[in-house]
Amino acid sequence: MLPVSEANIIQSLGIPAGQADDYVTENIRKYIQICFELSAPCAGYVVCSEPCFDRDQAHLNLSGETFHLGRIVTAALEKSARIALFIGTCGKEVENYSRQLMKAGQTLEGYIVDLIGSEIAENIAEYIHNEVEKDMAGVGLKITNRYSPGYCKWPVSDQQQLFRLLGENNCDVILTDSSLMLPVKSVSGIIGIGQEVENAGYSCSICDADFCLYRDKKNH
Amino acid sequence: MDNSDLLAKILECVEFGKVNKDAPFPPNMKGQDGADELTKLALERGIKPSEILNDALIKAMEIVGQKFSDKKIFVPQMLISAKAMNASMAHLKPYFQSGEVKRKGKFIIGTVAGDLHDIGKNLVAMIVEGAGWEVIDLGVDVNSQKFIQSIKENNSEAVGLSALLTTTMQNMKSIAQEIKAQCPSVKLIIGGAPVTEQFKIEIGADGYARDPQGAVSYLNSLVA
Repeated sequence: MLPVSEANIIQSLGIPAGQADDYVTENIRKYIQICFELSAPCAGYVVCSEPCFDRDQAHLNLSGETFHLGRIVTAALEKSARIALFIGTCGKEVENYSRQLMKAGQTLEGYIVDLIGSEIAENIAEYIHNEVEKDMAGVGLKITNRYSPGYCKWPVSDQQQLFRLLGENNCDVILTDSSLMLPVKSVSGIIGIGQEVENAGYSCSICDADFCLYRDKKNH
Repeated sequence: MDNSDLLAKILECVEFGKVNKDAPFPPNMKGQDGADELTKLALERGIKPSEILNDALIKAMEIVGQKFSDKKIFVPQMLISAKAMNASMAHLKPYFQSGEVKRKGKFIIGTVAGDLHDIGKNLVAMIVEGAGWEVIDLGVDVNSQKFIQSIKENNSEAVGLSALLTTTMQNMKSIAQEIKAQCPSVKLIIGGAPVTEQFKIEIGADGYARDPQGAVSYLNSLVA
């Protein structure tokens, strides 16, 4: 798993580079170590073949399920010959620890742990993305970027279809009625596979969700 | 140290986040009494709880909120200041409960249904409490009925809706409309990363705050 970047946590705390107090950076280092020991990462993917894209509706029909991808994600995936559905989580331990700290009045520490949990979950998604890429390269195929429900106006409610196709391969992640994942520090999504697809890296410029929280956060 | 110096020292502790004597932060106040010990001392000396609240805590949190809005401090310093304020506030709680110290009003806050994020909402709750309001925090994933029930039970002046996800902004719209339909007199303020002034207008909310100090300014305008 990739190491958690101290700089990313500082940035997520809203602190400009070079302006973090020693007290804050010492706490970040301390809690990165604790969270690494606490986290129980799990990740995996399943591959479904014969995806059928409806360009007009911007839908994907896959193994009996319909995904309402929207025009941006549909355009990015439509040359795929197969679709990988992935799930990754750092487990519930880190977020429980964050809650414990906050409940005990250690709000800053709890917040730092929460951010580290998010970073670990994102790193797990990066790990599984790399694994899919390696596995597919072995059989002469390429992959796309990864996309998750909620990205580029793809409705979060489509998590329901995604989890139905994952079946028992869900790393014990469950969905709330509003289709959010528990543990919260989990990432799910899809990756296109084929000979004519490409992993172009992330770019906010393809998406018109102007108010997105993550917009340009990492200079996408 | 006379009483006015003592209040100024409590203000300083809250502004710079000196929680208690053992707290290591800020380094230049290491080993000194913090908000906890000094508030206790102030009460023992007979300083009125309302003076501690108005002349130290509220003033300190106003400074903190303004510094945050001006990007002179960031989330960590704000959280540490809020912790110091809470240490002081713990000594004042009995006076709130007895009615000896009056607060500005009741403010209900929650993260809207479908959204489990609470950090921003907690920050606003802490700063609003530090500004002299009683805060009733309903937590995360709160539906319209829970908001409406709490507004009616507490006869609150204002309610704050928080959302972090673009995908839950639509829930904010339906919740805001249901609250307004059933509790037309309550003032409704919204906030969260994807929320804007324009969105406030679209959903018929009364106020939009881009940061905690914005929420305080709006709420204080209701009781000015």
